[in-house]
Amino acid sequence: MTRADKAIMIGMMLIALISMFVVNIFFYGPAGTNVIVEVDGQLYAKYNFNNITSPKSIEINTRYGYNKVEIDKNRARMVESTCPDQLCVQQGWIQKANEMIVCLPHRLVVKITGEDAGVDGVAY
Amino acid sequence: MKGTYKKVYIAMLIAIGLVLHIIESFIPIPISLPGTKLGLANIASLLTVAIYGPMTAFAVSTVRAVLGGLLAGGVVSIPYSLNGAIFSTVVMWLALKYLSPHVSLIGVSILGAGAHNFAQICTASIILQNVGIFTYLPVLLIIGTVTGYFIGLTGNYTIKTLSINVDKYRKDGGNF
Repeated sequence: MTRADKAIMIGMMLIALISMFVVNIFFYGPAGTNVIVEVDGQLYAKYNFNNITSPKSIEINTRYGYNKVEIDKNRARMVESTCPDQLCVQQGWIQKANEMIVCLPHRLVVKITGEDAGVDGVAY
Repeated sequence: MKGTYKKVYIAMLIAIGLVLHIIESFIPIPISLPGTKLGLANIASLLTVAIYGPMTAFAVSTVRAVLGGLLAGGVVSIPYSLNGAIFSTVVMWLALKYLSPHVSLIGVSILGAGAHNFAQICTASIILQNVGIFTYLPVLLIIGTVTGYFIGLTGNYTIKTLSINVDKYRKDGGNF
């Protein structure tokens, strides 16, 4: 292992860790308010956490396959999927704004969004 | 008989890549992170780039990605591994060409793994029409650097033995 190898390895690790840090700080917000289900990049369903009082199951049947999403008061998860790898099910609950569960074989994205207003506050 | 050795060696490298691709799918990974894998099959691409250069490596990694997708992993995974294989071959070739005396196969393999992850995320974001998936790239990069190191280490040991064979046939005047 040469010095350049070490430099490349440390450089890659640093880039990854720094961007991970940046994503965690700036991209993921506090608890979200909506759950959005997208198939093939198109909006499939949208739920507001305020309207959900007890855990609710949603069944999603598309031409790619079958998925079952469970939505709790402030979080969501994939309960069932007919995809081969089951990674979306293993991911568990998501609750922060901009967090998402992706089921690649079924082209399905479940994500949590924050407030609908794009701007938090404006100062003059 | 001209070029027969080369053809046999390329066939062997593809076969090694395919077998490693299939074996890899049997090895359970303790952490369940989507998209992470050991990348054992990249040993074949790495060795091909190092011995034969980019064009042969394209052939090997393309054939390996398509056949590997059909044999293990499923047809849906083919676009991801195909794009990853092509882009990582380009990066590994450039790394070998311009950084060669300074880096060993470890550095080349780590860069290749990073390129592979980047291409996979790009493909996923195009298929899903979703840019937010790029937030997952750092996780893949960390895993890719670690596995890339071990793949490069394996490559370093293998190329020593393999290049003895290759040099011998080249000296005999074979079109290797």
